[in-house]
Amino acid sequence: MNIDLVFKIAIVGIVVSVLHTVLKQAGKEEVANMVTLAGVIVVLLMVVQLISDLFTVVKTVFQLY
Amino acid sequence: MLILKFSGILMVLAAGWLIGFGVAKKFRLRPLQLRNLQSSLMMLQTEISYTATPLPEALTRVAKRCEPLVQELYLGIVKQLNSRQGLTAEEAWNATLFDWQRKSALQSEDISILQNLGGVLGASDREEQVKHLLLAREQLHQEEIKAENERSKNENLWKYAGILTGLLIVILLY
Repeated sequence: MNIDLVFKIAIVGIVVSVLHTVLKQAGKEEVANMVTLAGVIVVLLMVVQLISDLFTVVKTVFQLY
Repeated sequence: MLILKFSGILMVLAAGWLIGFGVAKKFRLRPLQLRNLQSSLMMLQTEISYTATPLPEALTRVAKRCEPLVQELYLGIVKQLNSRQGLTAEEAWNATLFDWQRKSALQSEDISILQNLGGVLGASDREEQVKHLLLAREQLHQEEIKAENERSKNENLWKYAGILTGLLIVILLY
């Protein structure tokens, strides 16, 4: 299991949350929401491979071929 | 290889920082420059209404007491007027303004106020010029208030957003 990925996601989360706060302070709520959404999508792209691995493992364990 | 990676990280961070600060600087400088312009117009008004100095001379005198950027504008106009190309005050004013706009943080609405003023200076009687100088100052004051509002909203935003975006790019590509 690659621990680097966890740290990477954590840092992305921190940066995105700070950006969200800054943008909200400046009264740009829509942009702030877009940035948060973009962050979520980026993190999702990072873990999509792992999720598919998980599904494969689940399928293998219960022999659902 | 590691050095290459880290220098790349530094470059991306520096680029984000510079872009953010560059934009923030424009927001910060605009109200200041508008204020300087207003005070210089006030001096010009005194020159015109009380001492009735000819325009190139009046502009030179005002330029001596101005901030460097405004000084550049006035000296540029004087240079155009003294170049003996048969330019009217309006033509000299507009030509210089056009070049000067790129050096300043002013926007087109501020420049158009100054352009309107240039058409009157040196081309009508004293009272008329004073009236237009007052009008231009009033308009510049309105723009200054607007610019100040924008500054308080956007200056910090761009400072943070620039460097955070750089950081995000670094992390995503790492």
